[in-house]
Amino acid sequence: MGIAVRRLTKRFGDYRAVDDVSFEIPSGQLVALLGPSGSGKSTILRIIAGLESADSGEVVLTGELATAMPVQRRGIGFVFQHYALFRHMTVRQNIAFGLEIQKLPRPEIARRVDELLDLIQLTSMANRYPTQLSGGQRQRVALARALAPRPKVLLLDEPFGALDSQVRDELRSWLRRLHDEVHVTSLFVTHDQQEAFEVSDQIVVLNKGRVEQMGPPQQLYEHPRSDFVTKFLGSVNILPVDAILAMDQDDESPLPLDLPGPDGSMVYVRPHDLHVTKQPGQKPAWSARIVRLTHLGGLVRLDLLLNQGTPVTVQMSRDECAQLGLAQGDEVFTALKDLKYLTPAPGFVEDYVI
Amino acid sequence: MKWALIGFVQLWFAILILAPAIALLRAAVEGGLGSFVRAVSAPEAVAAFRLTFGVTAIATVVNTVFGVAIAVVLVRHRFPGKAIVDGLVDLPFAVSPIIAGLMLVVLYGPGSPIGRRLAEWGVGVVYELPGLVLATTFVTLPFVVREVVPVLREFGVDQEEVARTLGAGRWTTFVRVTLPSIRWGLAYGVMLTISRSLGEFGALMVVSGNIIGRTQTATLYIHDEIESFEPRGAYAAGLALAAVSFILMIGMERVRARVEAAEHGD
Repeated sequence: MGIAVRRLTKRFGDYRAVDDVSFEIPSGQLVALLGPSGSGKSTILRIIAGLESADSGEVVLTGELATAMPVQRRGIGFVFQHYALFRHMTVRQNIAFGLEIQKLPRPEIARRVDELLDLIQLTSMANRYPTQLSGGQRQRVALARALAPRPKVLLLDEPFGALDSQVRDELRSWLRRLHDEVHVTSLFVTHDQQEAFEVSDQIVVLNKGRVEQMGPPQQLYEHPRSDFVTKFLGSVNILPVDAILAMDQDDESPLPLDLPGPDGSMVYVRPHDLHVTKQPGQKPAWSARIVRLTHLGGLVRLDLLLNQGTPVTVQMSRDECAQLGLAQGDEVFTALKDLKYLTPAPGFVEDYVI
Repeated sequence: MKWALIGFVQLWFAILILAPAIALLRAAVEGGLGSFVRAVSAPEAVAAFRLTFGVTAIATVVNTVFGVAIAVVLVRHRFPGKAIVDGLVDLPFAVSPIIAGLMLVVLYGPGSPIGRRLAEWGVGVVYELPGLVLATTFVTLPFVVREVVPVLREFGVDQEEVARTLGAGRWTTFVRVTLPSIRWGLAYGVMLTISRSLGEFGALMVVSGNIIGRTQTATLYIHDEIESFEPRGAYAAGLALAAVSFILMIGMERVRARVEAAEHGD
């Protein structure tokens, strides 16, 4: 086991920042702590690092109980959102810092620093100071500095949060490749679900200081266990069952579902799980009007209004849209390819594939 | 408009600072360089300067160490009475140095209980070296604190936390990360402390007893020379004292400019 936290709790005054959180991260995995701001993700990371202490609960690092261990003995690498490079030191001195603390012989330090400079492709910048580097370069140096003493676990707090989107994308895939080479157990905090999907082996979804769900990205996407997870992992149409049942039976084909009746349940449909045609097909479909058609590069977003007045969003490829010849204002038919059905009772979800 | 403002500032600067400085410089070397050297190497002058430098050295070391400690506590920690401490740090600025000297005389003087007790042990404070050091330290206490606090606040804790995660203990982190990051604020505070210590007069006037060769500092010596209608000695000593502060200040600025160019240049 790489990292394990058990029943972690942390209060700030009356506010429960971390509320009975437990999870385990297998060795060598790259895992994302995903949640909105205020979900307690950074606090959990800082507790694991020892920079913050929990009110109760345990932290276990590579099988060793670390709850009471001081920061400097935990053998972790930590990367901050704003790099936190030592401004009075060159790139080389920054990376060497942890090795010097370990009092390694000079030649060995030099060798290891060279190795890391090569890894982050900044050998030519070794004698620059942090202010002379770009944001992406600084974050790579911060990463190299954290990795230099060969930490047992690597912790990253919104590592790409301060970078512009293009650099962020580059650095993300670079981090993924790096992790495939280095294989250090890594936990990174992010509020960006796309980032979590792109980089991580597993995702821990957090909400209000609690773990909502943990699992591989695709599994979370396809089998969310709660309203929060469903909404947080990408856009989704939420249709009240009551509204669906109220659809005019003459015009609309009823859903082929055994819906339990108007009880406040919700049907969740991803925008790409809606099918649009100009003619009614064999399959049951609702008639709708295209209120707005937005081109998003390779994708097209349709804002539909169902006859009964419910708005839904549909996403399809540009080619499909062109093939169908859709335009704003068109009357169309839409059918569901896949949906999730959530009752008001928390945690209960049924998957339907039509 | 812009040039008028710049011209005004330069004129103002010249009238207020440059003219008096030049006047002193001229007066001091009027009798030739030889008489200047003779004036500053008079035995009383040498003794006075030696005393001033000694007191300044002690006061500066003490205020540097404790000033940084106070700044760290004020910026990083919360404790009951913090606002009071924060305000009291400025007290030496707020009251006249004469009053500061008076406080020490009242507390440690021969007539006070503490003074009597200390005298029994053979320790004299007022009219002795400890009094001079105490008075100078008191008067210059706020400089390091006030220069370091904003720098430390701006510095934050990220870099210190990173150092801790890399295995550094608290002391190593302070020496290798915090101290180098606050160095210019600290250096500036130290410079001001030195300059002010060299130039302190009022508090020393009250505390020292002005015993020639024993508790007469450079400023007290200058004062006596003026009083004794021998202004040449006063001019020379005054110039020498001002020059030491000025050279230290310029020297520090130049070192800083050079180091910063290395770290931030392209």
